[in-house]
Amino acid sequence: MATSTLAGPFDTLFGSETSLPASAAVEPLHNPVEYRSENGRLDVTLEAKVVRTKVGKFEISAATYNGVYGGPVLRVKPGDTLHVTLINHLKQVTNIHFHGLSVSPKGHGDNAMKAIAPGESWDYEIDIPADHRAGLYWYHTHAHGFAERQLMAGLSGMLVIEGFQKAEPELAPLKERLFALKDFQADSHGDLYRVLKAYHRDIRTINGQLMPRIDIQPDETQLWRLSNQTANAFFRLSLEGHTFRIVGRDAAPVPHPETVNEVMFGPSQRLDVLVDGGAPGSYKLVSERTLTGPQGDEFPAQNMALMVVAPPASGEAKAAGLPASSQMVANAGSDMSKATMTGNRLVVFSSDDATGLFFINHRIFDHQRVEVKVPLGSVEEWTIRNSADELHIFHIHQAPFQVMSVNGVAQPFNGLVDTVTVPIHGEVKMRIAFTDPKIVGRFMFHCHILEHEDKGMMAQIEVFDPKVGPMPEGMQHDHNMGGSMAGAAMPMHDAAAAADTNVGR
Amino acid sequence: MRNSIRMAAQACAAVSSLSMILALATPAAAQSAVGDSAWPKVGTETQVDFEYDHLSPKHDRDGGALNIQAGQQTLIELDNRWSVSNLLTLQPMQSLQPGDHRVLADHGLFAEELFARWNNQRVNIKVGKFAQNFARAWYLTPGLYGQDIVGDYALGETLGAEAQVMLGDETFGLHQVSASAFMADRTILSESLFYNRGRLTRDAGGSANTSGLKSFVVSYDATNVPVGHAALDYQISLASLGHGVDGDKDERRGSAGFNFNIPLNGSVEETLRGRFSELRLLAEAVRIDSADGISGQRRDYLIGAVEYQRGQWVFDLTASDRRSMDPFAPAVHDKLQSVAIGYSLPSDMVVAVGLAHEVIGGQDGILVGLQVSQTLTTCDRCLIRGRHY
Repeated sequence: MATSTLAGPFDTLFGSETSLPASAAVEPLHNPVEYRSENGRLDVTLEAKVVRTKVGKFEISAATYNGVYGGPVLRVKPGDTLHVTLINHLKQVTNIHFHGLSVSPKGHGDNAMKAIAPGESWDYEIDIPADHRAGLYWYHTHAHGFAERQLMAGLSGMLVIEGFQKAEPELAPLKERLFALKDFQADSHGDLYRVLKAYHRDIRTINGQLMPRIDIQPDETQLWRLSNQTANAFFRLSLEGHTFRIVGRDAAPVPHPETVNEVMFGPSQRLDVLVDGGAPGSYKLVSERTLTGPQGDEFPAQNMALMVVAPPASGEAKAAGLPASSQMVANAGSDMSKATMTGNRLVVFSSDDATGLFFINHRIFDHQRVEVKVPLGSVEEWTIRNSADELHIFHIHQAPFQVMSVNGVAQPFNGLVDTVTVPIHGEVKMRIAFTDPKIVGRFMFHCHILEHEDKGMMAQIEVFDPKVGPMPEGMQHDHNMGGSMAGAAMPMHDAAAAADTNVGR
Repeated sequence: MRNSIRMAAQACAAVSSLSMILALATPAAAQSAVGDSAWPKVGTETQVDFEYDHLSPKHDRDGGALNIQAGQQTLIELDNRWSVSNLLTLQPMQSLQPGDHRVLADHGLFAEELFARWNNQRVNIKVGKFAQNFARAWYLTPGLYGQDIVGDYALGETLGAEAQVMLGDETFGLHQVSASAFMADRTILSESLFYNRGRLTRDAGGSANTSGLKSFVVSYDATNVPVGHAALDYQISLASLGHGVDGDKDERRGSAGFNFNIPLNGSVEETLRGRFSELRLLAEAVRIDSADGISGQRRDYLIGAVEYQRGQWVFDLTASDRRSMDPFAPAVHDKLQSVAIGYSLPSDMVVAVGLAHEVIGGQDGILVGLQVSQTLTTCDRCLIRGRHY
């Protein structure tokens, strides 16, 4: 039985170390349970429920899919159909968003407006286009008002669309490791705090493990696929005596790999990096201390894992490597630098200290209001302005974008991404193509620091067929749906109201 | 400019007792329901400052005081339009005088704010007890002593109604116009617990101490106006305060001020490494004619402040100036210069030291102080954060 020896709420008062030492790295890094598609289809049932879960030496009250805190991995191929049955055993509404996918936001698709009431179930039927970008995606709860805490409790997992390594054949023989990076803040009973603050200990995990051991051979190169599935935390990862070669961001290969001493990525962002074994020995993977600005948060340093470099044991095959001199040039997709823009928009992130609310264009999220209506076929330039004294991270569903400039400094084309961090009092200009007919419908854009999203920093966009026009105000996708599944779940506001009657406390 | 040193919180020694207070302050009802449409939602936040100040006048006896200043703010959101806000403040009710040696003396607890609010994000209406939106340096000036002179012109402890309207969109920043009508608070809310400062009466006189809402403020506020990649805020305010029983003329006020936040090292990467740095400038001028409702009596204020933040460190310099003209007395020129250094610990605790030189009523003095402060959020829209997921 796990102990419940979590530290008290003030143990980081003076920034005391919460890391485990290298000697604690005994257990090898495990991949979470995987579900793979077969014959063009993946049918999987995910049960969202509260479970007492052992995380390292701690036991916490987590909310997980199928009891797996690290999150089950879903593996599909372009052209497959992903069918997820979500059963909500929680006492709150929940749902699933398939982060980064360019698929339909309607009905039983990637419909994050849909909330599944307690005791209800919902079928997501996601047709992955045959030409969809391969890469590392993820799925997670998107229940507005609950997302921060539900995600911290564990309701997320990785979604791999296979083929990333095929697009860059030199990567194909390399060992792939998945890193679902999560965090939690729990009290001495293992219950998550209601208020998530720096004076609680923030514990970060990899695939639900604390300080795992990562084995690698001296001449080996591994592909580490890092997915930040925390609610609010930024990572600044360093690996003692090693560098990282970044080969992918947010599922897209980068045109020219970049070698760095540390990788930085925020909530919801993903990175594909190459790590070379090098000289035998043990090296700590460290999440360095990060701050998000004068009004933001601080995340103390923590040892995340120990990489152990050792020659192959007798009888063990020699693992593949990739010389640092390798010149990979990946196809990163279409460069929109020279595209003709059909519109410009300004999105302002701001907050109000008096109420604690967070705004987009000085308005909090309203599920009945569509902030932006865009005709299909548009290619727009958006300016994201951060008017706050802390970082914000912009994310839009369904439509990846190209970052054109940051604070007026032009950015080279580095592939399409689905998230970007906006500097304090800064601006990011980006271009978004709303040209894919599959994304017609209503979806969201928001700050992916989920504390901010839960407190209002989210808005709706509707991409509409210009021949048909936008949906009437207040109408949900469900009203356009026929078939037997219509009405199996309810719009967010109704489901939330239903949740109130089911609390029983 | 944020008052990053003042806006801080508390020492470890008081943590356990404070936690008990906070537990009591968190409404039990706040834990009884979940749901995005579950109203009301409750937020509570506590800020506690421990401060020791030492005053050394050149021609009088030294004085020193150890004080607590605490604020407990509660926000109850009744639905997505209506809310009720309350700010309870515990603070010493007497200012430090030469020769004083006080330890936690004269502390009173009172309701500094209690108002209902309606807003739809473009229009914001407040009714109740709140500080008027006249000038801003009285709460924005940084440092332990930066607000000591300009605190004079804060229009707090007033009852009234205020409407604020957002103009246009945010392309060139957030622009708002506000107007309010108010009077001095003479209700039970003007009293205090523990050390009772007593209820304000009409006979006590003073500006805005009128029989009805005979005082008015009109303000124009611009916030986050982009200037390059810096943010400019400015405000212009006009006020008329009805005279009390001891006055003969309504007080007239005008103010103009700005604060300018200029990130110096503000890339995402440098921010995450803890090397974010920013220069903040603040200036404000205020004129008060017929001060205290006395015709011919005038006060002019001028304040400037520079704050530099780098990572966890904050350095502040302030200079403030007050000139008082009275038709029947010699003019008085008061001034104060201060410096302060603060450091934020990972827990959001801020430790700051400050030094000020003041000339008040012709008397020189040196103030030295140490402040430890902590803000604790005990309930953060907690109705939607139930025990179960």
